[in-house]
Amino acid sequence: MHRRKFLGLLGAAGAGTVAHNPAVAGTHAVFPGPARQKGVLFDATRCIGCRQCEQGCFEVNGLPQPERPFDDLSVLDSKRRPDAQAYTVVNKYFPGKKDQPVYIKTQCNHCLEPACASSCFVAAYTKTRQGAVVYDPSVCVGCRYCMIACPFEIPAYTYEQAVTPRIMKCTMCAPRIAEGKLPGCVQACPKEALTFGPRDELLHMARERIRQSPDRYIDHIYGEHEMGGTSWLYLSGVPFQKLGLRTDLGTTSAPKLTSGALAAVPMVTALWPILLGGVYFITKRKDLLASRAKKEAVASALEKAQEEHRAELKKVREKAEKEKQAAIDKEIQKAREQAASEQNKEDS
Amino acid sequence: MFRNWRAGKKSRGRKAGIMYPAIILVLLAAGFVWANKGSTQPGKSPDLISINSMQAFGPLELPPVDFAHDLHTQVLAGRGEGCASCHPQVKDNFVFTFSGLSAEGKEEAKTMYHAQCVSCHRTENSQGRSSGPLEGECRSCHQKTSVDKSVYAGAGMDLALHAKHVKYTEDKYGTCGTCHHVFDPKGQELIHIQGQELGCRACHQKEERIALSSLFQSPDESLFTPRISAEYLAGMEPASWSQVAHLACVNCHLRFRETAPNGQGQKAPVSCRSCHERSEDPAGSSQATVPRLKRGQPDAALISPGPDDPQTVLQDPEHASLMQAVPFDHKLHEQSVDACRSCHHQSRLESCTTCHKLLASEKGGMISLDQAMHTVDSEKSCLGCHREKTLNRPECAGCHVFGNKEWPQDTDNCRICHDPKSPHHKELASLSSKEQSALAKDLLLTRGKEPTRPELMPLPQEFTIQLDSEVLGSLSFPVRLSSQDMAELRKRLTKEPEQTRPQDLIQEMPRTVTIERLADQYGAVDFPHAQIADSLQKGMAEDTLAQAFHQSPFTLCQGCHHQSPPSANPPACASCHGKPFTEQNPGRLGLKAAYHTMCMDCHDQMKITEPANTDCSACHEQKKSRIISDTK
Repeated sequence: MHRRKFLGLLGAAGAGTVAHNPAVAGTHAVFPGPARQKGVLFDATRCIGCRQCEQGCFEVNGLPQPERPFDDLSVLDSKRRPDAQAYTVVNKYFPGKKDQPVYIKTQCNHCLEPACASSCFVAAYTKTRQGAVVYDPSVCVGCRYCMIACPFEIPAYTYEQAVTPRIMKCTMCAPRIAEGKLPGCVQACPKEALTFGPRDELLHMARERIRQSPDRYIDHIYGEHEMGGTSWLYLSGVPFQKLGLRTDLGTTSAPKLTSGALAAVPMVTALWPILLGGVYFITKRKDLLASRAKKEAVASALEKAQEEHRAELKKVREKAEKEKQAAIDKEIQKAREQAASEQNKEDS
Repeated sequence: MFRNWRAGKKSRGRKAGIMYPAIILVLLAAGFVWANKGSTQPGKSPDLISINSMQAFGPLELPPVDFAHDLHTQVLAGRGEGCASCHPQVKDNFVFTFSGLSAEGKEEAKTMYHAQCVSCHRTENSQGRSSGPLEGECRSCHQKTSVDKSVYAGAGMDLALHAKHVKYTEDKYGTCGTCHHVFDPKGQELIHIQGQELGCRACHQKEERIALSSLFQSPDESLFTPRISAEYLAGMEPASWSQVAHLACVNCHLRFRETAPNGQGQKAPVSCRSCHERSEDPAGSSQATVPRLKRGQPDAALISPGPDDPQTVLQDPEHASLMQAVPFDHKLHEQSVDACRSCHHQSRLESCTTCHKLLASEKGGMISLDQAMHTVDSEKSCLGCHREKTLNRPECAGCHVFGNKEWPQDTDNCRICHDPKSPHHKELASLSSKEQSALAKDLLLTRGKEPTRPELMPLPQEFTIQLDSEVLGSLSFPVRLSSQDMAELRKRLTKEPEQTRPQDLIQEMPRTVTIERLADQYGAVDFPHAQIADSLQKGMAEDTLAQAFHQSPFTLCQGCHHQSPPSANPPACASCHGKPFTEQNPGRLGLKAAYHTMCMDCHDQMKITEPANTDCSACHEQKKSRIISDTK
């Protein structure tokens, strides 16, 4: 077997697995997620930028005290990202007039099919049935693939902790939800700019708000389909890209983007012995067949040669016989003629 | 170089091939295409004209040129040169297309622009003055701009601006015919009929521009009536609004600048900016001071489907029960709109029911009478305009922002317009429009008021009460009332029903309300209840819309105490708003959010900036550092 042929066979085996069996990828066309999973609807038209949500988050999660107090609103003058000290931050944007700021709260969006979880090879991330994407530091090996995988740049790393560094990320207050309480930020919001509830109901509610006040909202619920859907949903009166939200993400979840190729990996691994065995068998069998054919060919050639030889011999023999007979006949004739002449002589 | 528009027009359909070059020529003759509309923003200017007419010849090789028109006119004016530097003149009138030239092909068009622009720049440059870009500096003009810098406001005539024009023109021309004209098909000319004036847009609606080669046949001081050749007019479509507006307005302004005495002429604007820059009050005078235009319009009218409507009771007994006719105060509405076309779209000054029928018809643009009056999205409809007015006026918006867009009015409000006292449509059909107008006036006077009581009959002082009883038999009691009793009786019978005035209501309501239900991290709020009601009342006192639609004094209370009928004892917020995100009412705000939303959204809408929404301690006393209290 040639090397090129072997690689071709290998490729065909891989492609066949992907093309014919997409179900193994573990994703659906639309992944609905668990029924009645919880979510939060953020309404930018209600947010006043008071940072109470940040304070609420800080209090219920026991996060480190920030440098500047939560009632210092000048913090909003510069753009921030959730980091190892804060699960959530509020940012201020001026998408329209200079005196009309629009605020947007940033935290983990708790994707229906989280990129972080799919990138984690020790399964430190879990998408719970309640909707939260939670992180287990006890199994984390600190590879920080999740930080690269997350399209929203949410997971942060406690680099300053030399011994036990870990990922820090909003938990949607999963322990509080389990107790029937509200997430800290939702609880703290004075204007219900954050609405907590089952995700499907939040979607209905968001559509209803848009329907009732079409001039207040743009007709788009951010998070309904972005990255395959997120548990955190957003409503706004201005296009979301003006509020620093990425609108280039598409509607396909991160796992789905990679599942096809990744699903082929275990398949190929599983097929390896069979494949190699098969290749070996084919090669061996081919050799066997070839040698068998050769033997047969030699045998038949030999047979043929012998046959020919025999025929030749027979011919020669027959010829010799004939010649011999002819000679005998000739001799007999000769003898007869001699005898006849002798008799004539005697007679005469 | 001009090509006759009619020649192109006649061949439409049959010879489309001729049509397209004609369009291209016209586009090119137009020269400029105004770019995107929008509000005036810093760094953007209304005088930037995007020269992209080369698009007619296929994709552009270089980005279109943003031509700063006002900059050029300023520079030219500084040298004593005017419009003639660039614009051609036909019979004393400027044609406001660049050079008025058109080109047959791409190269010719390119050469035309380059020759005219660059040659002028070069002359400037050679004389040592600063000039625009020269040859070879392609990208100086052809700059790719990521944003459309040209923003201009539509420069329409409104009532205030109209009043100004009337004042200036009546001395000189003395007639509305200075501007207003109509095409007379018999005489094949433009004539003016006093009392039947229409807005420009009634005829000049088309977007596309037309060639103006033969427009001006005889020079005349003013622009209209006898000056346009009958031959040209016959079968011609009216020119586009933007074309005639520049032609008529700017030429007249230019003449006015030259001829008006005492330097008054300088008031007539000719720059792009002076007309196309958006400002709140373009004419600099408020609507209230504008004298009423008299064109034979009624003071009041009854809006009801006309007798020619195929669905009226007269035509179709199936539709016997219609909503009552609406008495419409035309005079009042004239004062509260910018222009006639605010309602009479396309400046067609005729009754709504001429086109809008009970069922949608082609004539009415497939918009039924009901939709024409009630579509909330349309600024021409009653409801749409009223909604916009309430949302645009801070004094109103504080409460009205909470209205539902779909049906912002309480259905009980239907009868405010649809007057129950309006006569049946059958009766209305027999009335002339003048009689209808008089009836509408009467109805408007008594609208929303209790019917006046009939005169009290003379009361007898002495009478007999007769009783027929089976047991006692027939009894009779003679009664004689004292004159004091008589007076008391008379007083009680004639007493007018008590009318609560909003002022009295405010006197009686609680001065402050202490909101302490949720006091925890923050202290209770002393809510200045009466003070707020008083300021709301003062804000709406002069508003005619509020006077018409706030039927009860308790309507004031409904601004905050929403979703409950008007009464002196409205329910408290906590009656409905409790815990947030309940399963029964997931969309209903919790009490904390209800308080904050009501106060903050109202303040935002009413442009009350103090206290700031984020200044917690302005309303609450901050008692302690918060420990999240769990409500769920």
